[in-house]
Amino acid sequence: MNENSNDPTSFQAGEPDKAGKAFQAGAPSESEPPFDADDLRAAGAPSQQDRAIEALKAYEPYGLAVGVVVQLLVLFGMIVIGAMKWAAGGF
Amino acid sequence: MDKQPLAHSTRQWLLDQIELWQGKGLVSEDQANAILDLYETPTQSSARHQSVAIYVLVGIAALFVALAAFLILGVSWEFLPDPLKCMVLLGLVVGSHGLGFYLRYQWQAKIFSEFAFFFGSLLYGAAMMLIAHIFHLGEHPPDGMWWWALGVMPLALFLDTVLLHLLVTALLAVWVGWELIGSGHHEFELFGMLPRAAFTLPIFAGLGLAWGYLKKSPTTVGLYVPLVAWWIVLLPLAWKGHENPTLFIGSAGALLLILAEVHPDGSRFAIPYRLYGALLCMGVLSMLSFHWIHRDLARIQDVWPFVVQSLLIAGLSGLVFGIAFVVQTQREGARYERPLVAFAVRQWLPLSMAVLMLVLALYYVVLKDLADQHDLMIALLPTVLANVGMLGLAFWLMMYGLREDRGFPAAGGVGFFLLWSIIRYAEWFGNRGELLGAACMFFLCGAAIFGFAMFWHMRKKQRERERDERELE
Repeated sequence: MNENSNDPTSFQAGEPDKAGKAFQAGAPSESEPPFDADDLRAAGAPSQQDRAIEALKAYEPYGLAVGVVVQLLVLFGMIVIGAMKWAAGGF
Repeated sequence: MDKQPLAHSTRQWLLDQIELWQGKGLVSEDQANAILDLYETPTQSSARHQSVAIYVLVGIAALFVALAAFLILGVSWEFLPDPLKCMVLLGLVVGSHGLGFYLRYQWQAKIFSEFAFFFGSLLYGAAMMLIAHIFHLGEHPPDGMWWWALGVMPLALFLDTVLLHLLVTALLAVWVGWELIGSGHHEFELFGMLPRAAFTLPIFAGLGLAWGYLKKSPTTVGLYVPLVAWWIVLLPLAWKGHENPTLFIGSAGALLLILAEVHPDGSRFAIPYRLYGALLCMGVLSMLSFHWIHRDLARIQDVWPFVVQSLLIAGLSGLVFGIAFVVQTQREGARYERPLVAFAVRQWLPLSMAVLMLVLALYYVVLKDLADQHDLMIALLPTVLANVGMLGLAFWLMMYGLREDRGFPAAGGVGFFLLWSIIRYAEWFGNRGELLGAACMFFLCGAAIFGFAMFWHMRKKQRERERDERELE
């Protein structure tokens, strides 16, 4: 444990105390809740939200392609249904 | 990592604070620079504002060009053979989206690619309408809006800005309105079990809201919240629930207020829920504050449909509150950050609104048989309750403004209080010309608002004094 841990100026993010939790200036370690998402973020680990955004970015070209394909399928579908109706003399 | 946007005033505040922290030895110069490095510089901020302006202009330009293309097609429509028309329409849609891909991945021009996709999506809708016109495919016109929104939704979810979400929400709002109000006939679907009630809307809205929360975009949440509210408010029409919808709309407003208070303190995502919830409740309570409205409500013969509606939406509100409460109790460290009592206390007004609307609906059922002879007496209690509700909502908004130190909700509360006083003046003194009574009422209203302003002023001064004392220590 950092010997100057009571001195707020010696605070260093990510440095663990006895409980394995990153230091938080002014917060006594006994009453601290266990490791949470904020600690992980402070330690540089991506949050679930960051991972989701990264996944969205990774699949972006495929997602956009799906959107365009859906639009074209709808238009082709309408033309096919219309043509079938026209062929059956249904206008 | 992308730098966080920072308003000029907030940056100035941060610089002052960092200077203070450095003065007290809380942070070193390196740490101060590392903190500032997380946020965009004034030059970047200025460039971002210019980009937003360009973004808006290009969006409007895309809209006009799409309209122009649509009109050119319309003019030449008569002279073109049908197969050629279809080819032209498909070519335009493919060309626009192809341009979008080219700009995004070849030129790295992400913003301009968004407009190309937006333009392509507008042309996609135009193409759907024209193809439907060629082949006479218009049996149920609202379906066209649904298919249009379906094609745009994947693009909206994978792009970076709210532009496509704006288009999707506009299309879905028109679809819901057209389906539930405009199409006139609500034929039953699903083997006669369920009517056409735009049941897929929650899926669209859920995806859009998830995107908004994920991308930390309260603006996007602000687009989907009124859409969902619009759907909920119109839902009874699908079951031919044309009886007075006032109480149901009020319950929908209460549900939105409950959802707003489920968010953490100061969350910007709560703002759209609170804004639209407060607006719905304000409108409904203003109506219900008149005595004659309750006399009309008391005379409704078929009360069961609107009782069932009220029970269902009150149950939903209770469920939302219960789930949020349980989640809060099970959250690790909840007791440190946000005491559970405070969580429940924050909900006093939203829950009161939900209970008020339910109680009024049940009140009319219980006293239905007495309505013909004693409607004047029966209407008295609900009228008083609605007026108390108006004052309660105004007070809650003012206190909310105080709690979060935000002017807009506080001004909304004061404005609503003024509206209440004007309505009551018109109702009580409008015909009789009792000027003295009206003067008394306005004097009391003025005194109440002045008292509130003084209270706010004193509280602000006290906080400033406390802050100065802390700084001196």
